[in-house]
Amino acid sequence: MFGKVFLFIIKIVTSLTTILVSPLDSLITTYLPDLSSVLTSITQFMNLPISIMGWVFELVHIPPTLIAVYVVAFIARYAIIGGSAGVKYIISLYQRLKP
Amino acid sequence: MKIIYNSFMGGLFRTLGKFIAFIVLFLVFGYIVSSNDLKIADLIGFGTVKAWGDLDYREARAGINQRICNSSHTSCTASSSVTLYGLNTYLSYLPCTNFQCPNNERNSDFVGVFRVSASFNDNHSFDSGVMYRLWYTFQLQGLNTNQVVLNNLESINSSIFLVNHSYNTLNNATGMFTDGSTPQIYFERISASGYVRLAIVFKPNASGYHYVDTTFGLKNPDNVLSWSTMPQFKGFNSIRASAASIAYTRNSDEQAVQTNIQNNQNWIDVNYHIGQVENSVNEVNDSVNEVNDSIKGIDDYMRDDSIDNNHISAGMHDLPQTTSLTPFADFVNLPLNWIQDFMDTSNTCHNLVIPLPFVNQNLTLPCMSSFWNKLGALASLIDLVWIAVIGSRIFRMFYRLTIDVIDLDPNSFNHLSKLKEWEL
Repeated sequence: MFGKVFLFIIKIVTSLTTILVSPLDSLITTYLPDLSSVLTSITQFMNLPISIMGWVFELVHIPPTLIAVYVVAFIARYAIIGGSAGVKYIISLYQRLKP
Repeated sequence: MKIIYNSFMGGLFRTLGKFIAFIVLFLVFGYIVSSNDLKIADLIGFGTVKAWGDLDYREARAGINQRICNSSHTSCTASSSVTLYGLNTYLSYLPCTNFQCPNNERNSDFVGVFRVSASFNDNHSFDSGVMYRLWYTFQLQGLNTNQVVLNNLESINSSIFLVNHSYNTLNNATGMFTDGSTPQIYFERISASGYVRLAIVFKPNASGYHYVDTTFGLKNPDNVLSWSTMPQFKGFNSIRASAASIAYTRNSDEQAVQTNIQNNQNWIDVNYHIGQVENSVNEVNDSVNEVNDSIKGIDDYMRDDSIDNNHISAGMHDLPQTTSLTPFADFVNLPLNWIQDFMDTSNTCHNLVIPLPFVNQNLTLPCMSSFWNKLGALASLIDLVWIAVIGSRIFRMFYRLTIDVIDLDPNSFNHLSKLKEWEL
């Protein structure tokens, strides 16, 4: 359940990103086909290790739910750290600017 | 960055990292091993081809040793040579048959410089000022006997020669190897038969290309070479395109041709003997049929414009066949797609197909889910082990995180140290 919600959020973000950069994509595919080819090549190349890692997950038989929880924990950890750092920065900024 | 890296590689990923490192080493090792095989790409260019071993050809027997020029075309030497006369029936019975071998050496090493001397019985004249492409196709192939399929050599080679005058004879057009390597083939079985196919002369034009297939004595038993037309010439969109891309550098080719013309002056024709004709006509016919089948296979292959040469050329290997319509979005979304793939990965069973560079092969690893499904309860047990190992780490991380958040003192909160303490 948790994993599915997280996947749903990811899909929303990726969809929004695709929509936002679609004008740039149109420019690239129309006027810079070589750059388009290079970007696609890089994407394909970078996806190759992930496909290998997926196969490795299958090989070692890690439950997908566990992977989802792990990823969420990983993200939560950085979110808390980043969030608290941000709050601290805002508070310090406020105190500095306070008359 | 270091903390993030260490953290990312910590725990599960550290373990997986070792495993992935093993897989990578395995792939690298596999690539090194596989690259030792004789590949067409290795045979393009200058060099030496040597065939030796226990040869017992019925249709043809040839060792080909081209020692022409070094890769920079600055130094050329000619070594022992054997002239394979004609593109005709003579080559049907190359020197070492069952019954008669040069210097009474049966099944001995047989090397020589390859030379083509072709004549056209239809008095075809080459047009002046036209670039012709001359393709050589060598195939020494074990056939027929005792499942002899050993090392097949198919070397596709080309040279461009400019016809400055009208000729009715094409002499001494030579094959070339550019890397100076020595591809070798070895036949270890006693009984084998094979054939050598040399020189297909192409003359491209707008609507197609003319060619002369000069397979020795087999396809042209009457020594009649005539031009045929192959339609829909779309460039050598096949393996030959790779050969062409290397060999068709005009300057080097012309220089090479000039060099070879000089070398040809020094080439020594080594005696060869035409072997005695086969004992059994039926056996010959069977072998010829097999050879013809192979020729047909090669012809089909050569006519196939759909052959993907991206796997041959290392430089082109990773270029995508089709580009995405949203290349930049795909690129930007890459990290999120990774996470998505991580979480989706075990839901479907899929083979891992890894294209190996430089060789025309894919490494296909089997679907492991089906393997685990066969183990049944053991798979569930391993599930529990993973849950215990990874779950405990996650629990520990959340425990420390929660304690720290409850006791949070904003003034003494150190993000980087917490990042380390909350390591997964």
